[in-house]
Amino acid sequence: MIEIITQILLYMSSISMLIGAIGMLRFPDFYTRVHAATMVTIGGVCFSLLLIAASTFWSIYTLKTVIIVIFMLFTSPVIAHALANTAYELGIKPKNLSKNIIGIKKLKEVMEKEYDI
Amino acid sequence: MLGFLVTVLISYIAWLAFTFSFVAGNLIAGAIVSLCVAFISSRFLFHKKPSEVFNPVRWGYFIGYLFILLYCEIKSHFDVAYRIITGRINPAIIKVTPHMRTDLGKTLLGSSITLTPGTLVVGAERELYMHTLYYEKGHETGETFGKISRKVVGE
Repeated sequence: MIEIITQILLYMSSISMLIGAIGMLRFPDFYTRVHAATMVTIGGVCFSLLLIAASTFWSIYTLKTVIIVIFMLFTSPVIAHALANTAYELGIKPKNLSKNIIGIKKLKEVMEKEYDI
Repeated sequence: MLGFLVTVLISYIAWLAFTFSFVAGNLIAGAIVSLCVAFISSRFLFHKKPSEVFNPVRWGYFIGYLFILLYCEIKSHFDVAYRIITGRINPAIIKVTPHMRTDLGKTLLGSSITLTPGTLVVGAERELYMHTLYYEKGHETGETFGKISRKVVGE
């Protein structure tokens, strides 16, 4: 049973990493590439850490690996948000945008008024 | 003072979970380290009502929130994989109104949105500005997270 779960997690993590890498190359602009990077973080790294947790089931390493997964889930959105927010403030334009409620220009004006950039 | 004690307790539990040996030297070292950690960091962590850590209702909501988050993660994971392979994307920047009063709630909601593949918070002021990979009309994310995350942070 544990071997089957391990195999499934192994295939899921490696396929996620492969698809995320393809997405990094295929997507047109910065913001959509960050989506692909998020997919690598969640799919690839979390599934492979859960693989270690499942293969050492039921020992202390299971608990430690699950704690590492939880810490990674707390910290990895901060990196993605920091990248995306910096690009947004610098005014890197997203390509083929279908809907944009607050434009880049308006947000830049707000930022200039508040932070005096 | 209660915030200090809560920080000591949490960091001591974390120390025991990571080292997992119960000899006397390890227990004393963990106590010293967690006292140092609490002395440095307890005034950043708890501003008001540290006893809310032990509120079982909010822990229950938090566990339910984790299950909803896991479901959304897996669903959107396969969705993003499909979009990468086929190339059918429709990116948009939309505004999410979180209706949160505290910064903690906004942080929780924004982190959950960014953690889900396919959605990404690009700016956070009073509202959150979210870049989404595939925009469908009438299919706004944030409503499913929003209701229960308000209860997790106790609003």
